[in-house]
Amino acid sequence: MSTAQPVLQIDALVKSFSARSMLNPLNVRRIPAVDGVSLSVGRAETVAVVGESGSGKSTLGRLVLRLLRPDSGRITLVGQEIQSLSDSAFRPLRRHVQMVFQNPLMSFDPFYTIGASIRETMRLRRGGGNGDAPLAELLDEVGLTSRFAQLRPRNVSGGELQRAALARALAPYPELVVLDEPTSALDMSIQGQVLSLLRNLQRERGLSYLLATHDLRVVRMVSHRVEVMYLGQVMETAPTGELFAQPRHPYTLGLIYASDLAGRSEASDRKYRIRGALSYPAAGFTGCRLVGRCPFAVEKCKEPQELVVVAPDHSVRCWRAVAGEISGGMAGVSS
Amino acid sequence: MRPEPLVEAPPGHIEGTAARLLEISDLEVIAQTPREAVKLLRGVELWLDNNRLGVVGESGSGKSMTAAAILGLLPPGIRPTKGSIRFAGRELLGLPESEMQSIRGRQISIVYQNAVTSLNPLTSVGDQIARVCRAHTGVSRSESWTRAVEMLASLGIADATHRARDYPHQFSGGMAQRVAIGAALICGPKLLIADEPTTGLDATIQVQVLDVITESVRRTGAALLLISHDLGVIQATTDSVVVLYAGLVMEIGRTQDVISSPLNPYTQGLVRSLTPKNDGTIEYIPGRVPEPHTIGDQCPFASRCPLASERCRVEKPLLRELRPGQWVACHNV
Repeated sequence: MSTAQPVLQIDALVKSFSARSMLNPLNVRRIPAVDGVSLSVGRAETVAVVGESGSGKSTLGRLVLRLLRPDSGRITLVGQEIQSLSDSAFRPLRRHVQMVFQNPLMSFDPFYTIGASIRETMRLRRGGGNGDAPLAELLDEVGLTSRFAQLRPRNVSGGELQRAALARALAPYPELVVLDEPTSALDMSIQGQVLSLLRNLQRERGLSYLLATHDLRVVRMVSHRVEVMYLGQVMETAPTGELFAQPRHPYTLGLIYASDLAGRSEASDRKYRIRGALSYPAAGFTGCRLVGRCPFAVEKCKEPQELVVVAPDHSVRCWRAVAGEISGGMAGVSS
Repeated sequence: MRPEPLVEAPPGHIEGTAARLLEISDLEVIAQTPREAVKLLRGVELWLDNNRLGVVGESGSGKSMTAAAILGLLPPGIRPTKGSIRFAGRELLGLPESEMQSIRGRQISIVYQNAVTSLNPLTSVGDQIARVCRAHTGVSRSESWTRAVEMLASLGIADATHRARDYPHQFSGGMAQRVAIGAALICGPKLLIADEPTTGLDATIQVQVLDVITESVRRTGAALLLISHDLGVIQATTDSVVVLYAGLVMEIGRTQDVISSPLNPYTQGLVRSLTPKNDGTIEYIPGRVPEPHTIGDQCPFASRCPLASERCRVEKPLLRELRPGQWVACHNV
């Protein structure tokens, strides 16, 4: 899957936001939305970033799209570092990375026809390419007839509009498409269609995807490797098959467990369930960020945790997992 | 309109046969537009004893419309034109608004998808629960407050005495949903309707909220009508399930039966689309959900169905009991 030069390479990326306390506006704190993330996406590879809302997966996608600027770290897109480029210097590279958002109705201009919206990104193509024939070709590629070009977003179904969003993303022949929850807003019977389309397009065009989602079912169906994020940090990363067969980090276990509603029992509940809700640790706390919610937490977890390689291509940020104290008895969790 | 019944036999026997808590038969709901009358529900059948019933379907299938019809809260311009909704032996269709008000909140309650927007932002959460209590039972202000705090504590909200004074924006999504559940349960209703109660919540929080719902209906003895687009949620939370598609019931049965061996081609496609096949490819239902005004007197799934025959395009299928307790609307199964 991954070849010598990755389509996207991220090194030690950091982005934090200032948040004001609602009760005391003078109390400002830094929220590390992305905190030292490194990953790479190879050609025709899909890397999924999973985690709860607030884990930083969308921020990561926006950084890659240059909708946000990082505080530090490097983003290398098709061999070029983009984080320090000026807007005009980045412009020719824009066509290499495109985006599909969660809700297609909110990502299309309601006053534009679908064809007009797609033409906007077709202009990013090298040498233009703006006519009706290329447009019809694009629509055909995502399984829509050319009559959709004349329709407005309100007049088509969610699944069809998400296909159109894909056509718009594909128009400038990108290397990488960032997919932010691409099927979450779609009906069940339509999700499979879009996932299948994503896989076919990847095969035919050699496309790479950076997929941000909370839906592990989607991850299993389309991704090659997974980055599990929590509060801005990668907690575990592994090839998809291995991650589901042998999850190591308690957070990964908890996510898999929570998504498999049918396989629950009281005993495994005590063992695997992530308690409470995502919340930032107190300022100055340097230990594992999951410590207050983790069923495996002990005193030593309040010390800083490093991402440690435990198997080829498989890393975990948890000393207990590294020591082999977590992975036992996993068979019941992954189905 | 033809008067004959749409079910060949009286509604089936999922859990016993005594007088049912809720029985909906042949419910038709129509949206009147300037040009035409569009059928949104085309003869919905469901029945519920003192158990947990799931209603699963996609957007436009009529799940929420069914809930709104039960509560007498159909939007302006949308009205029932046929059928009946019997609750505890009483016909709810056509009941005057004043009587519906004494049923809503007291005997039938509802929890909506987005708790934060269904709560009043200007009132403390404790007061919102206490108000429901006072409105229906006439207890004193201090007594209603005490009950509200007890309710919050029973739903797993730590330090309920203090948190009852907080406002909805100070609660996370999962915690706000607990408050909404508290307001729904404070008068001890016989039926709790939960309309996509965990949609939009993280999986870790979804588990918590589903547990709170399951545990509180068990404790209070309320029946549960759980509406969801997610078969996993339905499977984990309900005893029996109704599968809706474009306003028509496609299948009814015990949840385990319907999910492990679905009979209707739509249910089959849905269940299959949830897991990849052995060769890694993804199976899916082709086509799209038809617009309600384009469906005539036919099976609404006919345009996407692998088994569709000529009959499916001219005649709506009736529910038939093909296995004990498993009812299916399909001409060709």
